Amino acid sequence: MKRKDLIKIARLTTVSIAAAISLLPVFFIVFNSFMSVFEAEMRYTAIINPYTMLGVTDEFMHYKDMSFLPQVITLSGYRTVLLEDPTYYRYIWNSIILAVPMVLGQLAVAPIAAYGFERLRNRHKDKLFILYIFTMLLPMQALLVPHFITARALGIDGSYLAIILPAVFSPFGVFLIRQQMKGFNKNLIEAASLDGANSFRVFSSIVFPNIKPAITALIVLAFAEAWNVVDQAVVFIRNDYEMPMSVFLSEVAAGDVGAIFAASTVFMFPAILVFIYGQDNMADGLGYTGLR
Amino acid sequence: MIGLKLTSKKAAAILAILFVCLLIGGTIYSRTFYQMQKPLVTIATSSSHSFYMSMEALGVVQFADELVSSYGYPLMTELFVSNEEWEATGWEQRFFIHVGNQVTVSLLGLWNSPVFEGTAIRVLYDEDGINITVGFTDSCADSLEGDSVHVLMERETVPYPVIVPASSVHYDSITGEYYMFFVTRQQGVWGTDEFTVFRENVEFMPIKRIGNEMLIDRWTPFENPFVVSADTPLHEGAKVRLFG
Repeated sequence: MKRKDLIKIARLTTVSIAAAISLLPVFFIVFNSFMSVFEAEMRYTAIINPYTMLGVTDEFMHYKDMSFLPQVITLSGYRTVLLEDPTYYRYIWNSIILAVPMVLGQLAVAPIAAYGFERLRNRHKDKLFILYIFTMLLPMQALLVPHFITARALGIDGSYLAIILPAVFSPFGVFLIRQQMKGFNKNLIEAASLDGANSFRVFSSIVFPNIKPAITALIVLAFAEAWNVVDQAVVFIRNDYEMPMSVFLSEVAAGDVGAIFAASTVFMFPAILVFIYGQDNMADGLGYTGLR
Repeated sequence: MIGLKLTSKKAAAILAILFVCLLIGGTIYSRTFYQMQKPLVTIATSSSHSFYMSMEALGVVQFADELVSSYGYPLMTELFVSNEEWEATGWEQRFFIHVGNQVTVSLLGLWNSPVFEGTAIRVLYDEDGINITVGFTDSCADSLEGDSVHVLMERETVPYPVIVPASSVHYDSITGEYYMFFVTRQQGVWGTDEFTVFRENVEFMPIKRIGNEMLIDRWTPFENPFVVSADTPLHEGAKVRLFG
């Protein structure tokens, strides 16, 4: 076997192992979602019943007994989530109400802002851009307090707007799209300008259609971030019933263990769909940023 | 390869549409049909009543001894209530006669049975029953030592016990305890009021039933309304609909 082939096999093996490790929790959740309530309680809670008595310690606790596959396959978890308890629907809708404006808002703001940064004729624009991008380097938790103070000043604390507005003006989308615009053929823009097209016409007819990979990447990444929002919701939303599903899942884990895996599977379904929808363009979109 | 890409996109789009349909359908179901499947219950609030407990005994008139006369009574009668008799009444001792309680003494044998006010001076419990010494004044001086008297020992329960419909009280054969379901109101996930039942053990006075009502060993009315009847068996945490 040639050395080249060996390297290829080694690479493939490494990537496969990495992919398996990454996907293991996902498969674990999906497979365990078919577990019966009794088995889930037996394996993952401190509830002591005749089946867990043997493993009980001196502190009257028993160890978690993780299993990749359920002993008996059942849809009881899904029945609870989708039919028996309407609470889940409310929280999924909350997540949708929160995530969709966040993504649409970024889609509306980021391309225009990136275009502005790219086309602006000002010697300070790069400094301004670095300053804008600098907030991307700060952890989100560090920005929560300034966001909270701003939201209170605007009178929107306690509402979804307090979470949506900072996300709409997130610098990541601007950075992502501007990086792709850098590779854009500027001759096309100049040609359009010579033909009499104004800036908006140039942007909408020439630039925007050519940055679709970056837009798709932005949709996928922004949706994933918005769908999994936890810290901002805990800080800004006061009413329990207005919390998104991502926050409610922790309560499900504490209360209804039998439904947690089914609820998690249902919850990650939209994010997976968005990823599948955008996976082809996403690779091209991220390629320009160096993130890939 | 191009076909595969298109297929995955189409599949994602179709699944997304199905997911949205599921969400809309599930939401409609949870707000309509699911609500109708909840147990239908009737509820009531507990009421307290002034309640008198009484016991009767026969005695014989005696001249007061030193203790009784120190209370100002010239006459007394000694009563004995056996344990069998005591238990038959069903009352717990703490609800009954105590030193200082007022009693009514009726002189038997005379045509008009004159009635005197008396007081329990001594209450002694032993293995066989309770010895009660009652002092009283014969203002008419009609009675003589050896005459028979009828003593009515009666007093109002303080504070008042709670009376609830018998159908609201359930018996747990495993723990041997009686319990009731109470209803709490809270905001539901969709913003509307939602009613949830919780179970709470209750203790009974041994007399238990007064017609179709039950006497609960409790001094203040319950904070929450309780379930009188339900069309399906209830359990802790069950979401219910209210009748009417």
